[in-house]
Amino acid sequence: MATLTLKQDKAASGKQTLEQRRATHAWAKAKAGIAQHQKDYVNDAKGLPALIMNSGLMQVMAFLHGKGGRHEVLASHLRDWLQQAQGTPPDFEAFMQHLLNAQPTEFQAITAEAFAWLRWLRQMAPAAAREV
Amino acid sequence: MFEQQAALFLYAVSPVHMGAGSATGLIDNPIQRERHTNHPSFAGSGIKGAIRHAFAQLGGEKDLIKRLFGPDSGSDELHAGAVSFGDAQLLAFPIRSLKQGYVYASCPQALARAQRLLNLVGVKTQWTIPLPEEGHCRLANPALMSGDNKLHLEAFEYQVHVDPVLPELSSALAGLALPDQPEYGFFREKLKTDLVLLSDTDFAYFSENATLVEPHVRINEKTGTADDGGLFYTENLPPESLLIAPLMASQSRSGKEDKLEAVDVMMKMHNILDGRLLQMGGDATTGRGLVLAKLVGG
Repeated sequence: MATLTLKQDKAASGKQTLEQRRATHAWAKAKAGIAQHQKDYVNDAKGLPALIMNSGLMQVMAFLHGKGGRHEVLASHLRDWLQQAQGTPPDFEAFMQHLLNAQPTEFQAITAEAFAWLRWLRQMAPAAAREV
Repeated sequence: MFEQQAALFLYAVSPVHMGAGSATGLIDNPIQRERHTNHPSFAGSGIKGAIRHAFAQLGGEKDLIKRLFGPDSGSDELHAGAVSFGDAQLLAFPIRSLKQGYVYASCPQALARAQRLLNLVGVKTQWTIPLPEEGHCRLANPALMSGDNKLHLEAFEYQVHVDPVLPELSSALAGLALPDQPEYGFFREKLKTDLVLLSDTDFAYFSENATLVEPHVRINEKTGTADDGGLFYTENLPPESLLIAPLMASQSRSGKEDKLEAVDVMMKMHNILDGRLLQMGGDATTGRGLVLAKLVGG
């Protein structure tokens, strides 16, 4: 049975499921972001999925990089996760180069992964803000 | 027992927010979606409620409301209504295109489900549904292509196969789904020429990630600027989306008033729904939820 195998694997290697890894990573980044930028980080995290849905991942990453400061902090958190989950480069220019050369299916997979992680960050950020 | 069946086409002419309540997803106020496809959908109860609410205004006789839709909630009367609205499923979804503004995208899964529904309610269709691969698309209108056999939808590029049988399907669909009046001629034509078939996977991506998401804030009366903590994001189904729902009718069952036969019940639905503008879902006072109805069969 698939679930049984998964359990054994987890016990044997101490590995988390992908969803658990997203949550763990988002929690750590939310805490770091809030330590630096407090409430602004929460609002930016809440708005980021809508921005990507409306404008596309590359445009939004360029926009955040262009604005710099806390926006670049948030963008770097997302790029850091995408490096772990999709193997994209963590720094801005190489990340953009990678997307520029990506096939549509890969581009969509990266965007979908960004949303999957942001789903967590969106909930973790307000929760982490209360902890401070 | 429902003796009469028909298919109700719903064409969004404004953004539509059939809300799914607040959720812990990417958006604060998401729209309703089917569990297994994650395509946007309208719950049958929401459609029925909207039509019941508008029944008299659409030209229906007020004293028929209980017989057709069932007694008011909390009423002592106990009888079922004579019409049944099923959930509306997504048939075509508008996607921004480099050429021709936007296309009506669909996929084999959505078309096959619509065809099944139409055949089940007695509207016989014999569509040949092409099966595009991932990253590829089928279309009929070469004017949609840019460069070298490519279609550009939002940020994505698809390899085009011009499909000679697609117009047969899209013409049949456009004829069924949109009212005959000349003012809808442009959209009937566009649905005929600019229907693009994507793979189920590619279509699912857009139907999930290419809806209309708007930020909303609360304005502080004193300062005239956005209030703290009032920011939320609302999702809408974009205008030009097309959905299809089953509609069934039985004889009326109130036991008191004159009985209406199923044929009469269906006739009344035709009279109030066909080619009419309905308002469905939330945010009605900000222009949301305008849907054009077309009833086929029955």
